Amino acid sequence: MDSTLDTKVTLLSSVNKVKKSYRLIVLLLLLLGLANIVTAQDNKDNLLYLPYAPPAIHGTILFYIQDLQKQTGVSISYSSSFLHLNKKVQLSGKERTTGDVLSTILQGTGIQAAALNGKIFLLREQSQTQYYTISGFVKENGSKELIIGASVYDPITKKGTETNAYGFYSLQVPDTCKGIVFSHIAYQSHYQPLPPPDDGQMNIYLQPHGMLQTVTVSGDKNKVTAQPGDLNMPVGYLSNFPALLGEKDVLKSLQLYPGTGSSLESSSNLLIRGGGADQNLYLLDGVPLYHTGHLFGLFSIFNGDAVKDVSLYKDAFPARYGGRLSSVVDIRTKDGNMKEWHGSLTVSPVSASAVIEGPIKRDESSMSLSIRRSLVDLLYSRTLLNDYGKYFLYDINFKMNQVINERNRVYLSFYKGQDKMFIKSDNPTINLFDDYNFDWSNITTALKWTSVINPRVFTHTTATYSRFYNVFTQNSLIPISFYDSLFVKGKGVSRIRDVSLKNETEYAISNNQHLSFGLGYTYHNFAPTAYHTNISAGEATIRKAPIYYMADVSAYAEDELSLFNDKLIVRPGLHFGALIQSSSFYASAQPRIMVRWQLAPNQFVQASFTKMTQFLHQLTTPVINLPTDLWVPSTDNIKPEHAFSYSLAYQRQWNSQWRFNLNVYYKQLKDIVTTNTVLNIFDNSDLWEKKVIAGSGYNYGSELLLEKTQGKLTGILSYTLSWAWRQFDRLNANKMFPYKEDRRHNLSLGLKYRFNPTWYVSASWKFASGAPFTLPLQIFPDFDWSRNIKGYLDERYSPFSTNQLNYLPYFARLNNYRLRPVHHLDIGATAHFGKDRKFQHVVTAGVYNVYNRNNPFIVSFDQFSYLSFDAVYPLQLYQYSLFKTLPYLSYTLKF
Amino acid sequence: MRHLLIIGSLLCLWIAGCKQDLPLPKGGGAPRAVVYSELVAGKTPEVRVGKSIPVAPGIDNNFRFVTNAKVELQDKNGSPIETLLYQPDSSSVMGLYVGKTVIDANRNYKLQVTVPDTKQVNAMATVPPPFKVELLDTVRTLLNGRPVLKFHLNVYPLPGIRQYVVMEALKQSVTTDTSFTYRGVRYRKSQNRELFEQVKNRPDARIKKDSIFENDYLRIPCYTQDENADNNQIGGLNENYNSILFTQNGKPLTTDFYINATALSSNPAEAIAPVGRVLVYVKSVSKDYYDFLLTYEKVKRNPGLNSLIQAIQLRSNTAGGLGVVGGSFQKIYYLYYDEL
Repeated sequence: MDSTLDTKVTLLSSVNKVKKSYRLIVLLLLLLGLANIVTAQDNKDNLLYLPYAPPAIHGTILFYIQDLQKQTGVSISYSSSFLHLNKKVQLSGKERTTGDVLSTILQGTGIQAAALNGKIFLLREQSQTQYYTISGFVKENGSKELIIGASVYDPITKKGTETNAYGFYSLQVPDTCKGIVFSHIAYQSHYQPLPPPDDGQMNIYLQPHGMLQTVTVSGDKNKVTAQPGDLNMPVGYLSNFPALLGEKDVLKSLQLYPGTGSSLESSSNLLIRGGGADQNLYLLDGVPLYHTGHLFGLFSIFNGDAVKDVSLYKDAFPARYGGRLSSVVDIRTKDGNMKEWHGSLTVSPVSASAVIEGPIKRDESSMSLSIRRSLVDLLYSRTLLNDYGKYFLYDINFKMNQVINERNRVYLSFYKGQDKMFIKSDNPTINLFDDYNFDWSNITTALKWTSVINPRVFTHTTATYSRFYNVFTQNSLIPISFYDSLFVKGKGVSRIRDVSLKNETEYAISNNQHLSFGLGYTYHNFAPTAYHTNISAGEATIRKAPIYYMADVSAYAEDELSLFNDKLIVRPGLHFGALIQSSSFYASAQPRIMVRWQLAPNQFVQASFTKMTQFLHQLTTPVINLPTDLWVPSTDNIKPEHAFSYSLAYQRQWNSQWRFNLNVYYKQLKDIVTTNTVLNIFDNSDLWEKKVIAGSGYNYGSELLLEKTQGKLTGILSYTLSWAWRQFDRLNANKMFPYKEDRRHNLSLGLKYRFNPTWYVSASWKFASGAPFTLPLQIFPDFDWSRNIKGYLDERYSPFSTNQLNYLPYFARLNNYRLRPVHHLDIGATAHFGKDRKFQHVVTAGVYNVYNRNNPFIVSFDQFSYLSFDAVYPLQLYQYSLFKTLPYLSYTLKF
Repeated sequence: MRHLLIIGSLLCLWIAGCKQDLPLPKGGGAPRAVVYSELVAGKTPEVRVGKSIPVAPGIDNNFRFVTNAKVELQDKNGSPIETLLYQPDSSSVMGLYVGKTVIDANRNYKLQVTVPDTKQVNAMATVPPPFKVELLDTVRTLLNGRPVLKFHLNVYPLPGIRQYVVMEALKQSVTTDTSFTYRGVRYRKSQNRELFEQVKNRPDARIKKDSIFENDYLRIPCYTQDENADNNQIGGLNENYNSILFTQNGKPLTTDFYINATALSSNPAEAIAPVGRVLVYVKSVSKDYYDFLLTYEKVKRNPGLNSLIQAIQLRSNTAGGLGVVGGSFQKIYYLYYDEL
């Protein structure tokens, strides 16, 4: 990397020198040329009227110039710096003279032929610099995997662009440009001399860094593309820092950055700037997902082995995104190696995963298949889980892509993730009376077609299917009298089905103006609650499970403008969304604007405003990520939620190694919904709309990021100071109260030291202020208890009836108390063996929570036990922690 | 919700090894007077008075009895009507204060309670006007597999007045005891067993068997299938409730009210329900009391005492203290299934 930078410095100075002399020559030639044009017009110079029979009607400009010189003996003078010699051209077949041929082959180049002093000069028509467009795909050398977010820029002018989500770029370069730099966080930078070899797509292949260098964040990349409100993370980053049980987790890796957090210790429940987990739009290869947690959210459903690239947007949302209030997490999976077959197998004491990828037809089609499964039920079913039940999860990611031709490509991706949990009724520890099965899964499929219409226009069309399915079954024997009991066999289903079609187009009008626009249509089919039981309803009304059919229509347009010699970048955009149901119609125009002012080459300030609208709501009470969360649409009674987000950021970079970022934000939330009681989603009679109340919210804070991105020691320090408030009618006496995800301080420190290319050590320390908790200020006698009214009948539908408290809590204010802060230090080391051999081995080991901190997972004011109404017992807080010091070890075989 | 709790409980068990006791923080403030009273039209007032326990290190759930409160019933302007007197009652868990004034329907009352070392409590309660309720039919039937007793009711609206209707059922315990009168004094056998043995065969001793209704109740779960019930705001309509709640906006309310039939009669072979009588209430109550009962239902289902679940705040109208003072006009149906 150092050598690359050195080269750039040399190049910069030499190019500057060349540029000055070059301008002088051009000016002289131009003056001469103009004089000659006049002369030629007057004298009908014979050099341009010499008979010349071109040997072919197809060829490059250079081919015809050379052939013309060879056949006629006339010398042609030109500068290759502004003439694209390898451009393919076609003659009409009617050209008979030197002038005819030159006129045809130079058509559209802004260059004219002129004869002077027995020579033909090829001269510019005008004194301005001429531009031409280069475009193509940036791919990984070898595998031909498309690279997202690679920077493409002119090292002299710093003007550039970056590859889109499909690895495509389009850049207009001046004819004075000598070369273009292609760089990416995980790849060695590549300098491509210009002009390009031909007029086709200029596809560039980048060489990956060594395995252990993937942490380095290219300074070059950030000069051009990094923005304070978003983050692009390649998959290599995931393995940089220690992870709980060694599981690489996409969402937890994002939590190292400012403005991000989680509800609980080591939860993958991603929270952005005081927003709820339901306010994040998760896209897996462009397909929205509704439930992203495995094992109560301890792990995300995104298998680190299958993921290629993750982008997180916190503010300044591009207009193409909509539908959620807080953030967008756009995850792309691996396309598959186009050249050769590769794979890996990873085993740890808790899970195993395998990846296989390779060409179906070399250079034309490839596939990637990743499978992950937990092993706890297989390895420990006779000991650990026997007393409680069974649990396992698995994920399957499959992707195939087919190159149709240089301009068209088709992708097919599939994902299925499943959790299964079984809890026995004869549990020796807690007598449940029931057998329970919980079974929840996500399935997504996407079919995409990308097309380069022309070097400036790229379009992609995507058809997707997404399904979330949550099944719960119950077998219970409920005594209803001494002699009689009820056998209840129940099944509850909560599901979401989406089918969508969308098209997005990017049009590079010029380097100073990029236009993008698109349309989308999604058909939603929500069945949030459906419960069937074997019990005779008797007099009860049999209620059909509610099903909601909706059309979600979206359109957007966005224009990115560079003004004042790229000092000012303005990106206005508009996203339009509408939710159409038979009983209601909601439409929302969501303006977006981002303004960035370049203060100096390596620093800028950025301001943005965004309106986001969310038509779908998640009704949830608990903070853990359970599949019992309920997704419901806006209805005629429940309005869509809105967020108005303002942010101001400053970013500076030093020596391409250090990056500093300061961000302040303010977000106003309107019509956000919550429930004022708990919901039972597996009950058709539980009418959720009656329990929803609307309110408002305010999130604000500041974020700081300091990142060292290169060298043997790399690391990240991020700090967030934030507030999140909510206000609802008839809650907390209509006064604002801290949101359950409000955390005052959030600090992350991650360090990694690379000893040599084969092994490194890393450590991370995370700190988060305590979560809000509503603690009673006082307790007072229960109303029924005070009147000697007891009740213990019919516990079937009232789980608390056997745990009767003789007191009522007096809550003066909601969330008036803070739990203890959560912090833990994790260390890890990774060693690679067999580098450059066919079979490589990677061993990762580490320790989670080194100093054995008891972090709060659940805190209870009373005990989780059944006590009689009249029992007198001490009251205190009980804190339950999930993880103490926990070592991990994993082994990966790669081939 | 039940399933969530199961998962939560299991999680707690899994991590029980990591359970840690933490002291409660200080700062719960001074104890407050707790006042519960339902001023029922046509009856004399009863007020239960207690004291809250501020949350602080070392507390428990043992509430102290309050016997030295000053409880005054006032009219809506604050003029005293009556000072209620403390009535010792060993079966009561709070200090019981009773009066002799018969509560009028369609009238506002104020209740002022002063408990030493606490703030004075003031509460206003409106006793609703008389309303008409018709019991059209009762039938034993099944509701979601449960034996229930259905009441088909018709509640007539009061013109121009929003009416808050509460339906609930209790079973009141009954003990049968023998009383005897000897030399002009009446004794209970259970309390004077020795004397009873001495005099039972004497001709001047008059012996009689009594049914005594005790200050001891069992709450009978009740149900509704009516989507107009405000229980919709609390949970599902297949769930059981302490009471069924309706807001009546000037329209007739015809509804089916179900109570669990398991407890209607007691069975000596099982201790599900005590021997006693069943009281079915249909009440029109004051707005504040209704709001309290609505939130009370929520709190009973979800006390909100752990960090997984958001707490529910009880509505109250006892300024300066805790509890509720409500007004009600009620219709009671007495059902006798047990042999007393």
